[in-house]
Amino acid sequence: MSNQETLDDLNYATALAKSGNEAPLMGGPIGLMWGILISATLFAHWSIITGRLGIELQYLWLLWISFSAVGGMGSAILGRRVGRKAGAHSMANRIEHAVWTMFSLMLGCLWAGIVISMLLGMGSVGLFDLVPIVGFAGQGLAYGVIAKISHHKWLGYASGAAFVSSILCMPAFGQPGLYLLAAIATLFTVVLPSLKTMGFEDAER
Amino acid sequence: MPSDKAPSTDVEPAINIDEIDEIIHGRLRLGIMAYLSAVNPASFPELLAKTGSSNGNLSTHLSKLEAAGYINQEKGYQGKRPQTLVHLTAAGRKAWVQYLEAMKELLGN
Repeated sequence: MSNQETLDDLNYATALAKSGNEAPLMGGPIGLMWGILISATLFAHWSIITGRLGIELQYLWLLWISFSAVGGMGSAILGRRVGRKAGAHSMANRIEHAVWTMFSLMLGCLWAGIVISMLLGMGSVGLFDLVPIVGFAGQGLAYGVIAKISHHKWLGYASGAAFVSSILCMPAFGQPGLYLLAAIATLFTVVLPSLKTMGFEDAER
Repeated sequence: MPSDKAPSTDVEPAINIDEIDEIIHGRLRLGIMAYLSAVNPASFPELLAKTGSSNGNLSTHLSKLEAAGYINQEKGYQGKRPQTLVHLTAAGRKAWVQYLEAMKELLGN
Protein backbone atom coordinates (compact mmCIF):
# COMPACT_ATOMS: atom_id res chain seq x y z
CA MET A 1 0.00 0.00 0.00
CA SER A 2 1.48 3.34 -1.03
CA ASN A 3 1.69 6.38 1.21
CA GLN A 4 -0.80 8.17 -1.05
CA GLU A 5 -3.39 5.39 -0.70
CA THR A 6 -2.90 5.40 3.04
CA LEU A 7 -3.23 9.18 3.20
CA ASP A 8 -6.41 9.01 1.11
CA ASP A 9 -7.86 6.45 3.51
CA LEU A 10 -6.88 8.56 6.49
CA ASN A 11 -8.46 11.64 4.89
CA TYR A 12 -11.65 9.65 4.36
CA ALA A 13 -11.59 8.54 8.02
CA THR A 14 -10.87 12.10 9.20
CA ALA A 15 -13.83 13.44 7.20
CA LEU A 16 -16.10 10.83 8.80
CA ALA A 17 -14.84 11.56 12.31
CA LYS A 18 -15.31 15.29 11.72
CA SER A 19 -18.85 14.84 10.41
CA GLY A 20 -19.69 12.95 13.60
CA ASN A 21 -17.92 15.40 15.85
CA GLU A 22 -19.63 18.37 14.23
CA ALA A 23 -23.13 16.87 14.31
CA PRO A 24 -25.57 19.65 15.22
CA LEU A 25 -27.34 19.79 18.57
CA MET A 26 -30.69 18.06 18.25
CA GLY A 27 -32.55 19.12 21.37
CA GLY A 28 -34.20 22.09 19.62
CA PRO A 29 -37.66 20.60 18.95
CA ILE A 30 -37.88 19.17 22.48
CA GLY A 31 -36.76 22.49 23.97
CA LEU A 32 -39.27 24.38 21.86
CA MET A 33 -42.08 22.09 22.96
CA TRP A 34 -41.14 22.52 26.64
CA GLY A 35 -40.63 26.26 26.26
CA ILE A 36 -44.08 26.84 24.79
CA LEU A 37 -45.67 24.47 27.32
CA ILE A 38 -43.92 26.01 30.34
CA SER A 39 -44.65 29.55 29.21
CA ALA A 40 -48.34 28.77 28.57
CA THR A 41 -48.68 26.92 31.90
CA LEU A 42 -47.01 29.69 33.89
CA PHE A 43 -49.28 32.22 32.17
CA ALA A 44 -52.35 30.09 32.97
CA HIS A 45 -51.13 29.77 36.59
CA TRP A 46 -50.81 33.56 36.84
CA SER A 47 -54.26 34.02 35.25
CA ILE A 48 -55.85 31.59 37.73
CA ILE A 49 -54.24 33.01 40.89
CA THR A 50 -55.11 36.56 39.89
CA GLY A 51 -58.72 35.54 39.22
CA ARG A 52 -58.60 36.46 35.51
CA LEU A 53 -59.94 33.09 34.38
CA GLY A 54 -62.55 32.65 37.10
CA ILE A 55 -61.19 29.20 37.89
CA GLU A 56 -60.88 27.94 41.48
CA LEU A 57 -57.35 27.77 42.91
CA GLN A 58 -57.76 24.06 43.60
CA TYR A 59 -57.58 23.42 39.84
CA LEU A 60 -53.94 24.50 39.83
CA TRP A 61 -53.07 20.87 40.57
CA LEU A 62 -54.90 19.79 37.46
CA LEU A 63 -53.04 22.40 35.44
CA TRP A 64 -49.62 21.18 36.57
CA ILE A 65 -50.50 17.48 36.29
CA SER A 66 -51.67 18.14 32.72
CA PHE A 67 -48.43 20.02 32.10
CA SER A 68 -46.36 17.03 33.27
CA ALA A 69 -48.41 14.55 31.25
CA VAL A 70 -48.30 16.57 28.01
CA GLY A 71 -44.60 17.38 28.46
CA GLY A 72 -43.70 13.78 29.22
CA MET A 73 -45.58 12.47 26.19
CA GLY A 74 -44.16 15.17 23.94
CA SER A 75 -40.61 14.40 25.11
CA ALA A 76 -41.10 10.68 24.48
CA ILE A 77 -42.43 11.22 20.94
CA LEU A 78 -39.90 13.87 19.92
CA GLY A 79 -37.06 12.02 21.67
CA ARG A 80 -37.74 8.95 19.55
CA ARG A 81 -37.55 11.04 16.38
CA VAL A 82 -34.35 12.74 17.48
CA GLY A 83 -32.77 9.36 18.34
CA ARG A 84 -33.12 8.25 14.72
CA LYS A 85 -31.15 11.18 13.30
CA ALA A 86 -27.52 10.81 12.23
CA GLY A 87 -25.20 12.19 14.90
CA ALA A 88 -27.79 11.84 17.68
CA HIS A 89 -25.16 10.13 19.85
CA SER A 90 -22.33 12.57 19.28
CA MET A 91 -20.55 13.77 22.41
CA ALA A 92 -22.38 17.13 22.44
CA ASN A 93 -25.79 15.50 21.94
CA ARG A 94 -25.16 12.90 24.65
CA ILE A 95 -24.13 15.62 27.09
CA GLU A 96 -27.11 17.77 26.11
CA HIS A 97 -29.44 14.84 26.76
CA ALA A 98 -27.79 13.99 30.11
CA VAL A 99 -27.78 17.59 31.34
CA TRP A 100 -31.46 18.17 30.63
CA THR A 101 -32.41 14.81 32.14
CA MET A 102 -30.56 15.76 35.34
CA PHE A 103 -32.20 19.19 35.24
CA SER A 104 -35.65 17.55 35.11
CA LEU A 105 -34.69 15.26 38.00
CA MET A 106 -33.52 18.24 40.05
CA LEU A 107 -36.81 20.10 39.57
CA GLY A 108 -38.73 16.87 40.23
CA CYS A 109 -36.88 16.44 43.55
CA LEU A 110 -37.62 20.03 44.53
CA TRP A 111 -41.28 19.55 43.66
CA ALA A 112 -41.47 16.25 45.61
CA GLY A 113 -39.76 17.85 48.61
CA ILE A 114 -42.30 20.67 48.68
CA VAL A 115 -45.21 18.23 48.42
CA ILE A 116 -43.80 16.11 51.27
CA SER A 117 -43.25 19.14 53.49
CA MET A 118 -46.84 20.22 52.83
CA LEU A 119 -48.17 16.74 53.62
CA LEU A 120 -46.25 16.85 56.89
CA GLY A 121 -47.83 20.22 57.63
CA MET A 122 -44.49 22.03 57.55
CA GLY A 123 -44.74 23.86 54.24
CA SER A 124 -47.13 26.04 52.33
CA VAL A 125 -48.26 26.36 48.73
CA GLY A 126 -46.05 29.44 48.52
CA LEU A 127 -42.99 27.19 48.44
CA PHE A 128 -43.87 26.30 44.84
CA ASP A 129 -42.65 29.80 43.96
CA LEU A 130 -39.17 28.34 44.37
CA VAL A 131 -39.64 26.10 41.32
CA PRO A 132 -39.33 28.78 38.59
CA ILE A 133 -36.50 30.53 40.45
CA VAL A 134 -34.47 27.33 40.87
CA GLY A 135 -35.55 26.27 37.35
CA PHE A 136 -34.02 29.34 35.72
CA ALA A 137 -30.78 28.88 37.68
CA GLY A 138 -30.69 25.22 36.58
CA GLN A 139 -31.32 26.26 32.99
CA GLY A 140 -28.41 28.68 33.19
CA LEU A 141 -26.18 25.83 34.34
CA ALA A 142 -27.44 23.43 31.66
CA TYR A 143 -27.03 25.91 28.81
CA GLY A 144 -23.60 26.88 30.14
CA VAL A 145 -22.37 23.27 30.05
CA ILE A 146 -23.79 22.67 26.55
CA ALA A 147 -22.30 25.96 25.30
CA LYS A 148 -18.87 24.88 26.53
CA ILE A 149 -19.10 21.46 24.87
CA SER A 150 -20.69 22.53 21.59
CA HIS A 151 -18.72 25.81 21.25
CA HIS A 152 -21.96 27.66 20.50
CA LYS A 153 -21.35 31.12 21.93
CA TRP A 154 -25.02 32.10 21.71
CA LEU A 155 -25.93 29.29 24.13
CA GLY A 156 -23.65 31.06 26.60
CA TYR A 157 -25.89 34.12 26.21
CA ALA A 158 -28.95 31.92 26.81
CA SER A 159 -27.22 30.68 29.96
CA GLY A 160 -26.62 34.25 31.12
CA ALA A 161 -30.25 35.20 30.36
CA ALA A 162 -31.49 32.26 32.44
CA PHE A 163 -29.27 33.23 35.41
CA VAL A 164 -30.50 36.83 35.19
CA SER A 165 -34.12 35.57 35.06
CA SER A 166 -33.51 33.62 38.26
CA ILE A 167 -32.20 36.75 39.97
CA LEU A 168 -35.09 38.90 38.69
CA CYS A 169 -37.70 36.39 39.81
CA MET A 170 -36.42 36.23 43.39
CA PRO A 171 -37.82 39.62 44.47
CA ALA A 172 -41.22 38.50 43.11
CA PHE A 173 -41.24 35.45 45.43
CA GLY A 174 -44.65 35.17 47.12
CA GLN A 175 -46.32 37.47 44.59
CA PRO A 176 -48.58 36.42 41.69
CA GLY A 177 -46.46 38.53 39.32
CA LEU A 178 -43.69 35.94 39.66
CA TYR A 179 -45.57 33.59 37.32
CA LEU A 180 -46.17 36.26 34.68
CA LEU A 181 -42.53 37.29 34.84
CA ALA A 182 -41.43 33.65 34.58
CA ALA A 183 -43.79 33.05 31.61
CA ILE A 184 -42.27 35.97 29.71
CA ALA A 185 -38.69 35.08 30.69
CA THR A 186 -39.26 31.52 29.44
CA LEU A 187 -39.92 32.86 25.95
CA PHE A 188 -36.45 34.41 25.94
CA THR A 189 -34.57 31.69 27.81
CA VAL A 190 -36.13 28.54 26.32
CA VAL A 191 -38.21 29.28 23.22
CA LEU A 192 -35.72 31.56 21.42
CA PRO A 193 -32.62 29.40 22.11
CA SER A 194 -34.55 26.33 20.95
CA LEU A 195 -35.57 28.03 17.71
CA LYS A 196 -31.95 29.04 17.14
CA THR A 197 -30.78 25.47 17.80
CA MET A 198 -33.29 24.21 15.23
CA GLY A 199 -32.08 26.81 12.74
CA PHE A 200 -28.49 25.63 13.19
CA GLU A 201 -29.55 22.01 12.81
CA ASP A 202 -31.30 22.78 9.49
CA ALA A 203 -28.35 24.82 8.26
CA GLU A 204 -25.79 22.15 9.10
CA ARG A 205 -27.70 19.32 7.40
CA MET B 1 -1.30 13.40 -25.69
CA PRO B 2 2.22 13.57 -24.34
CA SER B 3 2.60 14.69 -20.79
CA ASP B 4 4.64 17.78 -19.96
CA LYS B 5 5.87 16.11 -16.86
CA ALA B 6 8.66 13.64 -16.85
CA PRO B 7 7.73 10.40 -15.11
CA SER B 8 8.71 10.50 -11.50
CA THR B 9 11.72 8.46 -10.70
CA ASP B 10 11.20 8.80 -6.94
CA VAL B 11 10.24 5.54 -5.38
CA GLU B 12 7.68 6.10 -2.66
CA PRO B 13 8.54 4.03 0.39
CA ALA B 14 5.70 1.66 1.11
CA ILE B 15 4.23 1.60 4.59
CA ASN B 16 5.10 -1.42 6.60
CA ILE B 17 1.63 -2.68 7.40
CA ASP B 18 2.98 -5.37 9.70
CA GLU B 19 3.16 -2.72 12.38
CA ILE B 20 -0.42 -1.60 12.13
CA ASP B 21 -3.68 -3.21 13.09
CA GLU B 22 -4.94 -5.03 10.00
CA ILE B 23 -8.43 -5.33 11.43
CA ILE B 24 -8.82 -1.57 11.42
CA HIS B 25 -6.64 -0.86 8.40
CA GLY B 26 -9.16 -1.25 5.60
CA ARG B 27 -10.88 1.78 4.10
CA LEU B 28 -14.39 0.94 5.26
CA ARG B 29 -13.40 -0.42 8.68
CA LEU B 30 -11.23 2.64 9.18
CA GLY B 31 -14.21 4.84 8.34
CA ILE B 32 -16.49 2.93 10.71
CA MET B 33 -13.99 3.23 13.57
CA ALA B 34 -13.44 6.93 12.85
CA TYR B 35 -17.16 7.70 12.86
CA LEU B 36 -17.77 5.65 16.01
CA SER B 37 -14.95 7.49 17.74
CA ALA B 38 -17.11 10.63 17.42
CA VAL B 39 -20.66 9.22 17.48
CA ASN B 40 -21.16 6.26 19.75
CA PRO B 41 -23.45 4.38 19.34
CA ALA B 42 -24.43 4.86 15.71
CA SER B 43 -27.31 3.13 13.99
CA PHE B 44 -26.78 0.83 11.00
CA PRO B 45 -28.58 3.21 8.55
CA GLU B 46 -26.51 6.10 9.90
CA LEU B 47 -23.28 4.19 9.18
CA LEU B 48 -24.59 3.26 5.72
CA ALA B 49 -25.27 6.90 4.91
CA LYS B 50 -22.01 8.19 6.33
CA THR B 51 -19.67 5.60 4.82
CA GLY B 52 -21.47 5.36 1.48
CA SER B 53 -21.18 1.59 1.68
CA SER B 54 -23.66 -1.08 0.60
CA ASN B 55 -25.75 -3.03 3.07
CA GLY B 56 -23.90 -6.32 2.63
CA ASN B 57 -20.46 -4.77 2.59
CA LEU B 58 -21.11 -2.85 5.80
CA SER B 59 -22.46 -5.99 7.50
CA THR B 60 -19.37 -7.96 6.52
CA HIS B 61 -16.97 -5.36 7.88
CA LEU B 62 -18.99 -4.83 11.04
CA SER B 63 -18.81 -8.59 11.65
CA LYS B 64 -15.01 -8.48 11.33
CA LEU B 65 -14.76 -5.63 13.81
CA GLU B 66 -17.18 -7.38 16.15
CA ALA B 67 -15.21 -10.63 15.98
CA ALA B 68 -12.14 -8.66 17.09
CA GLY B 69 -14.11 -7.24 20.01
CA TYR B 70 -13.79 -3.66 18.71
CA ILE B 71 -17.48 -3.06 18.28
CA ASN B 72 -20.69 -4.50 19.63
CA GLN B 73 -23.91 -4.73 17.61
CA GLU B 74 -27.05 -4.31 19.65
CA LYS B 75 -30.21 -5.53 17.95
CA GLY B 76 -33.37 -4.02 19.28
CA TYR B 77 -36.38 -1.92 18.44
CA GLN B 78 -37.09 1.76 18.38
CA GLY B 79 -40.82 1.91 18.73
CA LYS B 80 -42.04 -0.82 16.38
CA ARG B 81 -39.09 -0.56 14.00
CA PRO B 82 -36.15 -2.96 14.29
CA GLN B 83 -32.92 -1.12 14.94
CA THR B 84 -29.27 -2.13 15.08
CA LEU B 85 -27.05 0.10 17.15
CA VAL B 86 -23.30 -0.23 16.74
CA HIS B 87 -21.24 0.54 19.84
CA LEU B 88 -17.49 1.11 19.97
CA THR B 89 -16.20 -1.04 22.83
CA ALA B 90 -13.45 -0.06 25.30
CA ALA B 91 -11.10 -2.48 23.51
CA GLY B 92 -12.08 -0.89 20.20
CA ARG B 93 -11.33 2.61 21.45
CA LYS B 94 -7.95 1.44 22.76
CA ALA B 95 -7.15 -0.27 19.45
CA TRP B 96 -8.23 2.86 17.57
CA VAL B 97 -5.88 5.08 19.58
CA GLN B 98 -3.03 2.59 19.11
CA TYR B 99 -3.74 2.46 15.38
CA LEU B 100 -3.58 6.26 15.10
CA GLU B 101 -0.31 6.30 17.07
CA ALA B 102 1.18 3.62 14.81
CA MET B 103 0.09 5.48 11.68
CA LYS B 104 1.61 8.72 12.93
CA GLU B 105 4.88 6.94 13.55
CA LEU B 106 4.85 5.23 10.17
CA LEU B 107 4.07 8.44 8.33
CA GLY B 108 6.87 10.18 10.16
CA ASN B 109 4.84 12.67 12.19
